[in-house]
Amino acid sequence: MDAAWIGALTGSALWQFCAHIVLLTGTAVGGGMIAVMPDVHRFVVETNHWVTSEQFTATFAMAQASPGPNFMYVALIGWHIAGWTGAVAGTIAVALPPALICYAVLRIGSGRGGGVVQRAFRRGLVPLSAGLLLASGWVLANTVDDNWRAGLMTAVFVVLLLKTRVHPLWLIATGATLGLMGWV
Amino acid sequence: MSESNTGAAGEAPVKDESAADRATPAGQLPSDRLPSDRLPSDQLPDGGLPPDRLPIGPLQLFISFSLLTISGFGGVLPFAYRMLVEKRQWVDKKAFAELFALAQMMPGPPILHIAQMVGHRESGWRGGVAAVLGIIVLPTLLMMVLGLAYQYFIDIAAFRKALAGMSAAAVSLILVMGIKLATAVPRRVRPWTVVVLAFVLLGLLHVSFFIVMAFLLPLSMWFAWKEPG
Repeated sequence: MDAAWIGALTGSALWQFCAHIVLLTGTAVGGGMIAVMPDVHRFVVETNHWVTSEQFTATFAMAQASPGPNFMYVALIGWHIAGWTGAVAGTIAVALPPALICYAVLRIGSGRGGGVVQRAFRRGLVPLSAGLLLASGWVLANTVDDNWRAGLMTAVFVVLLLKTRVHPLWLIATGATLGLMGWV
Repeated sequence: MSESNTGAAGEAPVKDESAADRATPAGQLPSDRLPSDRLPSDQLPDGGLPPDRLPIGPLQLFISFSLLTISGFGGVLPFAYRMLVEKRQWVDKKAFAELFALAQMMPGPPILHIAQMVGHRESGWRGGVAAVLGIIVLPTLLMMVLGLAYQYFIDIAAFRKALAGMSAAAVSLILVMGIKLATAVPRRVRPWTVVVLAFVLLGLLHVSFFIVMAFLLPLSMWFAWKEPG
């Protein structure tokens, strides 16, 4: 199920990575590429050891802190696997299949199904996405928060984000500062 | 656009961008009218392009979406609403909600679908390609720069420490996305069964995403189908 058979046809790590991303993107309804992050982690860190867990989380944090869509962390992981080519290939793997699907939808139209089915679909996505995103956060927290101070920082930031309208970028900057001061 | 489809605009938005809920309205689903090759003027539910405006060309689309993507911190979707609806007024509020709803139903990042649908409406498939490229080209270059920075600075202890702190903060962003979405889940047994199953299978048991989706997507749809309202 890990697209290993596709990768085995070509052999290279980059191809296997891209094939895996393509398959994940194809199933990533609702939670987007953040929701598939635990599976990307499992595939590139645990199964294939292309990047270390530390690299993965650092990559994710860097991508979060920079402008651009949330899915760009895939390009940065591609960069770790195969440099410039890897970054471009990672982006293509995320963007091309959805673009083709979207084009097909635009051409064919979405007349089939009707409102009731579509509404059920949308309602059904909410709990699924919630569970997937919580799982993503949990997996990431387990690798990042390896000491109580980091765990406490994450918890405090969660409360701040929920209770105030603080911009996420400020929290990332605060995290970097606290990290520099040797707090985590 | 038939008015019959705009009834339940109060539904909770499904989102994958942090803070997307502030600016992206939850929309009702589009009708069977979709942007197609831009021959007739009524492709989008809002009635298509205003008659007094020329379509936006691919180059302009590329530039606009490039500007959009590099101004998007912590997710581009809220910024997309600001640019498309408020600033440039290429799309009206209702049409954006419908594009958003449709984008969520297609696999892949919603922002890409929104860009492509808007671009497609303006300039056909070339417009769609230009808009999508606008979203991804600059961030990809930026990721390469970040990759290089990582490579050169990772041996410096201060850099590693700062990254560790940033990572702990990034985790909180993801958790908050999940928590906010979970608050939109109806407090009934069946929807929450899906939340818990997704969390346990993916987060605790590390089951493959494909297996989780193959099992939970139909289950969740079936539950939603059976739910009242």
